[in-house]
Amino acid sequence: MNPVHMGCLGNRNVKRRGISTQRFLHTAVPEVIPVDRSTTPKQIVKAVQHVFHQTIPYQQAKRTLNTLQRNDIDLEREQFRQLGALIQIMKQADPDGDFFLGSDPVTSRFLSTFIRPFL
Amino acid sequence: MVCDRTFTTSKFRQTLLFALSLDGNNQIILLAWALVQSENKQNWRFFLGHLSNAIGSMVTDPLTILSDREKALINATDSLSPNAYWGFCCQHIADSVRSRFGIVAQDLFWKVAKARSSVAYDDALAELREASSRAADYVGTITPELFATSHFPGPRFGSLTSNIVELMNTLYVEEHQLPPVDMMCAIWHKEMNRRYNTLQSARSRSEQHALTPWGSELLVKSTRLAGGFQIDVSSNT
Repeated sequence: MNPVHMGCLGNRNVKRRGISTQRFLHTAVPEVIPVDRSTTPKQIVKAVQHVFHQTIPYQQAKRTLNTLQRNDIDLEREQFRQLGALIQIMKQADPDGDFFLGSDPVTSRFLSTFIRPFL
Repeated sequence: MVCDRTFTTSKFRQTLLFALSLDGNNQIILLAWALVQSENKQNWRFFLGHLSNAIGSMVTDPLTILSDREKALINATDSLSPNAYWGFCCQHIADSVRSRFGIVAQDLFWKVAKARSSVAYDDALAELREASSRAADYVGTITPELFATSHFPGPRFGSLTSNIVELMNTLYVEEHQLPPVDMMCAIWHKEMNRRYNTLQSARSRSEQHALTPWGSELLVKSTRLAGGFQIDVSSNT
């Protein structure tokens, strides 16, 4: 056999230790499949199988999906808190535009934001 | 101006309200947008109120606003100035007529919508009644001042539909999936880039061109259609 190809064959057989560990999956899964609200554990199982040639249990995929989706929620919640800073930056960049951020006076919860760049 | 809403597809489902228009080159221009928790009368009032404050000419000059027949939006229009004319998108009515009464009724509805005089409107409605009395009754329930060319009180410049909204939705489909700050930034940058490119292309045209490329093309087409008639530009504006 051509020795050039030995590497490829070898790679196929490499045992990846810890493929099923949550830590590995949390970083690897978003790289092989876009995770959003419509993603299913089955899709993750298939994607991991396709890329890493290993089957992870359905429950493992489900746990990974839950964690990744929860991370998205935290990120989005944080972004709602940053909207005020964004509006300030936009006001500085476009002083003739109109910008408004409305939030609940008691809870500071986001209510609405309005953006009208200067024409 | 066309007003509509779309939903974000990120975790916290929000509603994006927006106002669009067309520039002199028939290109879509996104006038303003707002992120709100849901679509209701209060939020539409908030949006239209800020828009009126921001664009002073909305209060002084005649303005035509087209939208679908969304109740929350219709109820919020009382906050607009008396110079604002409110109208329904004829495509929405046509789609509704088609789904209820068939394609023949839809074609006849367009005849009703495009009729240029009250007499032509009545004739077209009578024709629709002959084909389908139920369709005619349905169209008759909609105030003609809100959709028919013959009855519409404001200037519409030939725009009977709010179809540019669909283009807008296509243009910003990726941004709808982003979390709020990323979405606002992405829409902002995309819109600013579009405006910059439009401005650059307008500046690159020599001053001899009184009209935009689209306007020039329209003039050539109209001249061809007019046959022997002479068509001149009335002014540089």
